[in-house]
Amino acid sequence: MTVVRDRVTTRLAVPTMRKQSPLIILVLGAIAVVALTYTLPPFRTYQLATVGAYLCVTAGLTVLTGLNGQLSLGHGALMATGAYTLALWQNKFNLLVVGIIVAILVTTAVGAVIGLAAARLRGPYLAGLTLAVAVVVPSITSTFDGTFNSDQGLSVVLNPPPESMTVEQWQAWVCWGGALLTVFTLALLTRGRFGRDMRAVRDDETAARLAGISVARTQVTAFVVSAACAGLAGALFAVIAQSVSPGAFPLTLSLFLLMAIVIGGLGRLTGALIGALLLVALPAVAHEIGEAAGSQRLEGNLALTFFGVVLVVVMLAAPGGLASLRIPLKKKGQR
Amino acid sequence: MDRFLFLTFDGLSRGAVYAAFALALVLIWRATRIVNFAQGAMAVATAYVAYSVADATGSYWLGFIVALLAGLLLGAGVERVVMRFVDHSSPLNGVVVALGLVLIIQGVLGMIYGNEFRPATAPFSRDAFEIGGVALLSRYDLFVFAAVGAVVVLLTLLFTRTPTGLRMRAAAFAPDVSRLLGVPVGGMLTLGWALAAAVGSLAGMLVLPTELGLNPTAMDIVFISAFTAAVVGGLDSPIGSVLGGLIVGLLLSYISGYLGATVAPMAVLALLVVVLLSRPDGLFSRSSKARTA
Amino acid sequence: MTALLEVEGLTAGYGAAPVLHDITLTVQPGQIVAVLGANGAGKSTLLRTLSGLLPATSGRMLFDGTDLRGIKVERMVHHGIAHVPEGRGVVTELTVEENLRLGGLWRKPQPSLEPIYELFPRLAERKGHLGHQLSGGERQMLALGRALAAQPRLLLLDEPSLGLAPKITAQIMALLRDLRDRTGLAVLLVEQNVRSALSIADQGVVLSLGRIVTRHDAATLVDDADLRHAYLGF
Repeated sequence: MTVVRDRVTTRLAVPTMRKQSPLIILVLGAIAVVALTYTLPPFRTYQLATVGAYLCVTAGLTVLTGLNGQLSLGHGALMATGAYTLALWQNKFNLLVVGIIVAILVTTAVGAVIGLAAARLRGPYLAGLTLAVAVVVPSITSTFDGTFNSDQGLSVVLNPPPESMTVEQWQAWVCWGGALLTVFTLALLTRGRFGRDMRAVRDDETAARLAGISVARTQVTAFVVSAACAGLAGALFAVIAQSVSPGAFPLTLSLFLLMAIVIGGLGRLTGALIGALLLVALPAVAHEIGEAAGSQRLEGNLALTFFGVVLVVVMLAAPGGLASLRIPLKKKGQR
Repeated sequence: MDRFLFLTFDGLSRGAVYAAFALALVLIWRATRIVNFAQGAMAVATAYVAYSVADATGSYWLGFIVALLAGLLLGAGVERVVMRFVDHSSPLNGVVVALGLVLIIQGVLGMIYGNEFRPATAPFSRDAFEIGGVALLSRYDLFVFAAVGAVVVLLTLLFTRTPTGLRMRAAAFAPDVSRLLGVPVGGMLTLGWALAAAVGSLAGMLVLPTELGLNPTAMDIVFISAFTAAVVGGLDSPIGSVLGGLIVGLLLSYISGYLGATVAPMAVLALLVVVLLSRPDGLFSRSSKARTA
Repeated sequence: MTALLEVEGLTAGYGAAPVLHDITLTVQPGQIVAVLGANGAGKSTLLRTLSGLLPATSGRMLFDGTDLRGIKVERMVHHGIAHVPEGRGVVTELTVEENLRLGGLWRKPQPSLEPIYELFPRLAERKGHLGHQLSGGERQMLALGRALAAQPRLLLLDEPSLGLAPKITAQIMALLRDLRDRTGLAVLLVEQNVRSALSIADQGVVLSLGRIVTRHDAATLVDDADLRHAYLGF
């Protein structure tokens, strides 16, 4: 028993994100974002805000999939949960900060329910279940259209930003405030015992169990944490768009998120940032190509195709598939 | 009571389609331990081709045949070009690659055909004719039963009565041993994917006229329903998937009929959750063990 | 007489690490050659390399004059080589009859299974049973019968005695000798059960750590106490 524990812990002794203190990243990130919001033109600032919102969910997902080995296609639906919660809250109380917290709490609760089921499922079964969750969103908004207003969705009541700043700057600050806090929290979480447990579960469930780690609890916790991140991201998207509708959270959103974390490099928070950047940059590039070609059909679909090709190529080119895309675990003493 | 009977027959008709689609999923799962998440998108792609041909020639049946042939080709192509090279060390790899294919196929279809819904016409009337004063079945429903029944019979004969079927089963169950016995395992896998994709195409052609029509994402919900059907049947069991399809079809029909169509996807999700958590090996299996595959 | 199987300087292994070093051996038609050695000596690796499951890194493998290195696994049986892998490789999801049919499936027209059933009456009784319903001995008979249904000229047999009662092992060995005598079948027999193997073999080859350390007539190996002590541990 103790022998196994030793083996597992030494193998996983050094967490993966140790380069800088999370606090430094937090401060540097905040300075960089503030500086950018005062130099970028409004549209770029808006895009920056979107990257921040995406970063919340990709960071949570990369922890779930990269560090804990669970695949979720339901995070688009969890984002919708956060977004709708915020919209309903704002339209009633118009207290943004509390609304965002409520959105996170509600999504966390929903995530806990899915996570409890997910912890008992593996591979394609988990993928299929979460896929079903992603597909069911429009069905819910249509069935309870008194609350969610069906396909039209809801608009989000927001107070105007402080007079000293533009709407875009304000959006970027809000989104990146959330994103940086998310990354900070996840960095702290994953370098501690929880991160070690997650990696142990991912690498070998039996060994982890023998080492006294509760596999189910670790998996549910990972799912709940990533759900909370998705809830925050959804709420931020509602803030940016000032509206929510099922069309904003299609199945392809969940697939995009998956692609983002696979390409960014699984289990790495910098990978989550790369993924979030791609999620904003690629559709923008596709949009420009579409406009240049004068074809509306090209616009959205070009990005879709490109994401798909990249996903397939990366998966086939990486020897060992997903596992080899993770950053390797290094032992103390190794470089 | 009349309504109940009508919904029952309607559910069986839907269920037959889900059964065919679930059967296609099970064929590939048994052979490669991959759940082909791209099957819905592949079926839509072949349906687009079929309706293009039908529009150009004026013959639905020509389009129908083209859909099946395109399914064979697409399935073989996907196996040869992509799936053969998927690393099997983690079951997630196949899932992720299949999802990448979904994006590619939906993107390409959108670029060629656009993202608005196009009509998908049915070759027979969908108006139910009356039997003893009760409207039960349409000609189209009969066509669906006949087509799915034919597929089930043909596949059963193929797998149980022919040397190729025996080879395919052996290759799926024990690839290394089969190779030692002279079975060209790679070829059998390609054939399996081709057949499964053709069955998926058939299911797509049968279901699209009963839904909103042609759209790159038209099969997303159908896929979930069929996946649920396959899980209900145990994923490893062709017979189970057919029964699972009928069960899901009936459930959806009753729910849509009595509670409203928008509730149906939630019912599918609920069924999937219940089965996965209580009988992960399917309703018809005797043992019940956690799915670790 | 030209050798049926001629292996010269064969090196093979998994990945970068070779398991087999410089293996040279021949099997004549109608000859039973026993490959002996401890666990991990490379016996199974040798068979897996011969049938193409593992690529050879260097060396020559000639079967009836044909270079085996260019032949795919699934074509081996067409050339007359049947490999019964360790653990027997019965397809447990198929019936006994289907397993047997699988063996002869590559032949046209497909051979009758009657001779196999005559050889193994027990299998005839259990025709319709699934592979996983069989006992260990029955599975070994099935695997052997299935290999024979392919009517091979060379049988690569991996640990047929594994997990079987001595009586059944003896039956199987007797059957192999009988087959060899009647049909001229050549057998490359990998065994840990040295006594049984040498009881029917013409020649014994001892592998240790992937190298051939000695080879002699089976009778010599059994009779020579020094050789036995040195290489076979009894």
